[in-house]
Amino acid sequence: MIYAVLSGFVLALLAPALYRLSARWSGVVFSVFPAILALYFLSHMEAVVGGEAVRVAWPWMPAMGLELSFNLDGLGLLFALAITVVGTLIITYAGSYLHGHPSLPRFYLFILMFMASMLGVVLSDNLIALFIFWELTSVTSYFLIGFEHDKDTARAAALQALLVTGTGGLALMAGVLLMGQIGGSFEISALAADNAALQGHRLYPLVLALVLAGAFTKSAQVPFHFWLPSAMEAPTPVSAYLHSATMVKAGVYLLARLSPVLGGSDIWLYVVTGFGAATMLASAYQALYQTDLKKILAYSTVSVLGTLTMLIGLGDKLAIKAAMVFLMAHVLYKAALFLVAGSIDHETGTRDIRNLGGLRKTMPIICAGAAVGALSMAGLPPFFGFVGKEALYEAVTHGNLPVTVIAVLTSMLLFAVAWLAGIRPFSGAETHTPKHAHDPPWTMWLGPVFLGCLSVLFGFMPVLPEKLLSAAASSVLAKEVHMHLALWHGFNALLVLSLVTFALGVLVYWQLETIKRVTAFALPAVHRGPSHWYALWLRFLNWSAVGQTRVLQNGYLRLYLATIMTVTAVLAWYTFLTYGDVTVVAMDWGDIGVHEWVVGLVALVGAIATVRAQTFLRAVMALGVVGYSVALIFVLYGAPDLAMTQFLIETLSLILFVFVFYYMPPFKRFSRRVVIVRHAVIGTAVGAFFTLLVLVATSVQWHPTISTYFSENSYLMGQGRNIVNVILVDFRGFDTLGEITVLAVAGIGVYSLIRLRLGKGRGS
Amino acid sequence: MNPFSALTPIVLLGLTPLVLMLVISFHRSHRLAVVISLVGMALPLALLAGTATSAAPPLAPLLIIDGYALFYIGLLSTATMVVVVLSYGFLERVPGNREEFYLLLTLATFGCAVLTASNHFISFFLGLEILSVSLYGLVAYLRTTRTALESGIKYLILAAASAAFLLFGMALIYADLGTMDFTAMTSVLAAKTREPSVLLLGGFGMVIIGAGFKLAVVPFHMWAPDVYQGAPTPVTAYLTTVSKGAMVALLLRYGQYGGLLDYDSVASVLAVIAVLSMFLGNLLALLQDNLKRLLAYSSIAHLGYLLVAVIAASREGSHAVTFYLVAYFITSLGIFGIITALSDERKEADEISDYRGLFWRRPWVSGALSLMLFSLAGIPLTAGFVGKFYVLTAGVLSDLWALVILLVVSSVIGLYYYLRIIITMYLSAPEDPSSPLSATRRFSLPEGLVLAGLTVLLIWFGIYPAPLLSAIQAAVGSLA
Repeated sequence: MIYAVLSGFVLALLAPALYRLSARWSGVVFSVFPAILALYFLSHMEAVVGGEAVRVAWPWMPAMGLELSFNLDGLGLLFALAITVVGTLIITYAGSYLHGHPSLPRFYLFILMFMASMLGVVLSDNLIALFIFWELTSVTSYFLIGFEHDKDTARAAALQALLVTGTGGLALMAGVLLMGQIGGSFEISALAADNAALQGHRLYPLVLALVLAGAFTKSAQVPFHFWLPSAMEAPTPVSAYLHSATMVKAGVYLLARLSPVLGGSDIWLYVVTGFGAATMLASAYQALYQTDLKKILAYSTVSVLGTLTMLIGLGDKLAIKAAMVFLMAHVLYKAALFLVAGSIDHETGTRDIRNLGGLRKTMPIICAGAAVGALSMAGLPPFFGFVGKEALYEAVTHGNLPVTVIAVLTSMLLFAVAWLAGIRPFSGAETHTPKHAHDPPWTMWLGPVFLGCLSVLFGFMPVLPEKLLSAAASSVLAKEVHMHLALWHGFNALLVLSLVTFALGVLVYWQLETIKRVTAFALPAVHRGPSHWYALWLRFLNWSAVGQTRVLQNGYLRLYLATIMTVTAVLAWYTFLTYGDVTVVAMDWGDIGVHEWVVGLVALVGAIATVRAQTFLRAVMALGVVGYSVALIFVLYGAPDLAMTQFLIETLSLILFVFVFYYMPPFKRFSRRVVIVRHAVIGTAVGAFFTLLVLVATSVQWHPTISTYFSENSYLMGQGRNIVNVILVDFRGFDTLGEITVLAVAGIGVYSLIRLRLGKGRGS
Repeated sequence: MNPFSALTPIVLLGLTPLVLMLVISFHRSHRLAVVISLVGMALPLALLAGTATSAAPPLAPLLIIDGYALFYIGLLSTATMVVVVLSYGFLERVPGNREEFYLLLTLATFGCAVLTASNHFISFFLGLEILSVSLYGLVAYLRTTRTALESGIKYLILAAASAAFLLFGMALIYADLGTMDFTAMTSVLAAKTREPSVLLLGGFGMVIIGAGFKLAVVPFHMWAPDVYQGAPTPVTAYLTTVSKGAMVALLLRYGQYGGLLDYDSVASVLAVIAVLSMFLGNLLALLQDNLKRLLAYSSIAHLGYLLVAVIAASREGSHAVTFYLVAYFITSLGIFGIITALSDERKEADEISDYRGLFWRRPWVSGALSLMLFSLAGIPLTAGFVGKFYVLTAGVLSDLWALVILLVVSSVIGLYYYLRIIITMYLSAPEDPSSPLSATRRFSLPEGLVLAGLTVLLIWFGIYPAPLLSAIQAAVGSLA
């Protein structure tokens, strides 16, 4: 099984090369691969419906306790079959739909990579692996949505989709890490076996919120649903595959897969059901207002995703069964309808339903496929969609009244939407379209027809998929369930409810314009709201970036320094006032002699003069005064060698400065007074703190003064009576050597500067 | 084992600039300088394999050559070799003397090696200054251009100021603890009461300023964009990888011994710095049109992520930091390498608009660049993802929930601007043929090999990180 998942990646990388072998029939050639995979998964059917799960594991990052483990159970098999079967049809279709497109090889690369990632999502038992595949589906879908990269709208839509799902993905990552940390394992099966620890943990709500953020963004739940209709910029095969059959169902899959781990609590019930119910109604309503065929389908897809989410939120046996049936029905009819929409677009040059009509005459085969899809979507017998809707009604009527009302209203709206998208373009009088329509080649009608046949077949004989759906429901509920599906349940309350729905649906379709006009007031709330927030958020980010750049990054060095200083001062004073003990600073002022005061004052005057100097030379001179005063302090405190070095360095650097500054223009004052004052305040704050620290530090005495050591040991160890001599040549021999070297180097520097100057003088 | 033979890698690294200096004064040859630098960096690497196994005694008290130091020395010298290869092509295109560049570069790496092995404030400061002083020269190497001079001066003044803070901080810590030896600090700290003195905290603060400047984390980050943009691209690559990597290595070691992270107040200051860096870095990167500036901000954000793992401080944290650094090295060197290799005499390829439609002219190069950007964004199957994942794990293991969530949120912003660059590359090429850089410049063989190698490593560590992880565990394990 590991090869079944990973071979897709290898093939994807080879796709551009393989494409060159047979450009004309590339679609058919590439579709062989998913077909083989589909057969492979079918071969496991017997074992899986028998209750066995096929499991393989592969050590991956043993250091982090990660392994690549795959688990094929009922739920996984249902999704894997959807991915591979629809994948086969889509790739066949795309070969003709995108025929001659210069980027077709790239399309195969990404769609195959997407398929492999999607298989990885639904088969991984390890949460980390699942997350990785999950992100890969986001990335590959980004490239697929932005396939027409020359179109601004396509790029914007691709970016929007990736930002929304990527954000959710990162939340999911955090949720997964938390789950693994709390539950002690990253294996879903292990977590499901012991879910009490996780659900009883105080961070359970946080985990749930993070995971749901991931699932809801991926499955386009309100309020994150706006990216899916925008993503209709993608080529139609991509929309059919990613945005109805597979990727957007990944969120639903995740909820289903994790419901044994996280589900069953009250928060789960209310949050998941609530979001699902809101989504199903709001987007079914929005679908009515669309005129673009693909957007109608997109909104109805969001609605179905909401329904599935709602059912998983309810989480009881009937609801889960209904979710599985509804899901299969949706895969069958929605992919078909998308392919039909693509064919119409391809053949007529438009997707606007106001310009379409009477296509039944020119595109009979497509019309048949569309009719089956639409009727199944409308929930009419004898199609599989009817079975799905009956299961839905059975589940919600056992739930509570609000959910039932929402379900009936949604089905009513979807009935009208199905008519709008699947029947209307083919009925009525023929219209004038940009291109003259006719049936597309077989590769492009194979998909709708095949899926339509399955809808009819499963509608008449629901026993066929029954075992698979039971197995899928069993893995969601984590216990054995058996379901019995039938087209005809007898004349009961559910049937009445269905009949009411149909009647209402016909009414909505008939009075569409009136209803749209009357209820239009509610549209902005659901329609403009979330995507408006998204736009606002992006604008806010840009605005704050601009603001910060202006304030923080204006290019002035002085501001950079001031920032560092300010932070230092604030932090330092805060620390000092919190932890500091001012009493240590108490010192004996009487100890300071007059000469020390004088030296200190001279240094202070020098420092002030440096800051206030009007020319470079004056500033350097004043700085020299500070340096000499410091050297004097060294002398006063008995460090003649240090003082000596300081004197020499000061002298040399003064000479150097004089030579360099000779060429400099005089000072100019650019700063405004307020800036100068601000800098003075910052400087004083930092300086005062440093002074304080020095005072505190001087009260600490770690070692005996070093002079004691020298006087005791100079004769014993250095064999000399002149202590200073011994220190210079013996105890600190290397220091002396170093100082001499520094002096020599500095001297050479001065000499070369002088020579440079003379040389220039001669030259000119 | 003779303690001095353990020093061999560092001694060799120190000899390299000396040899270069002598050779340059007798015979100027760009090619020869490159070869000497490469050999100088490769020799210690070859010796590492031998020394790593034997437990080296600390060269009391300044340096300690343990597996940790050796791992980082290996990493830093390898990265330097990449920079040397990139510099060759770069310097061939600019006028003036070229050989001294390698002198400064190898000297800087010597300073970095001292930093990674230092076990004492003295060696810490010496290593840092050797690094900084070399970098002043490197940043302003193209001294005839305005931007290089400007960034050189900015770097010089700010680095000097921060070094002053650092030095003062060391003095304060010494005043409180009575030792500058990291190992000795541990025992002194263990004997002290938990109530921190103002001297110690003040000292920690100053050390954080000094280190924070080198790492360019908020609020000590302001030099980064200007210097990144103005410095020669190979130097920018060096700044963002080797220079920061050495500082991180030191910070980890010091954090382990010096009690830096044992105090809540210090940890919370670091946490604030991490959060600010993640958010400001990512936000400011949003609007950049210059790729080098953008990467400067992105680097600020990435160091913020790293700090999260540093704060986590557990053994998991040290592993995560090291892995993240390796991934970050590979990615950054790759991106800056591509920028360098695409530039030509007329124009440096540092504007995002230069990359418009690159895919259609150079599919392999733009493919590699996309992978690098995905790695920075932390998308799976790249080393960057494993690194980010590891950092998050370390955060979760240390119960740093808030930091983990903030890291995730700020990464979302990051996603946006990395994608912007990728989108630009896949646009159709502009009509005006004079505007973009000449995409006709062929990569030289070494450039091509290095970039291909980096890309392969990026994917390899992204898919199968187990060998690197166990190597890191072995090396970092010697830290505790």
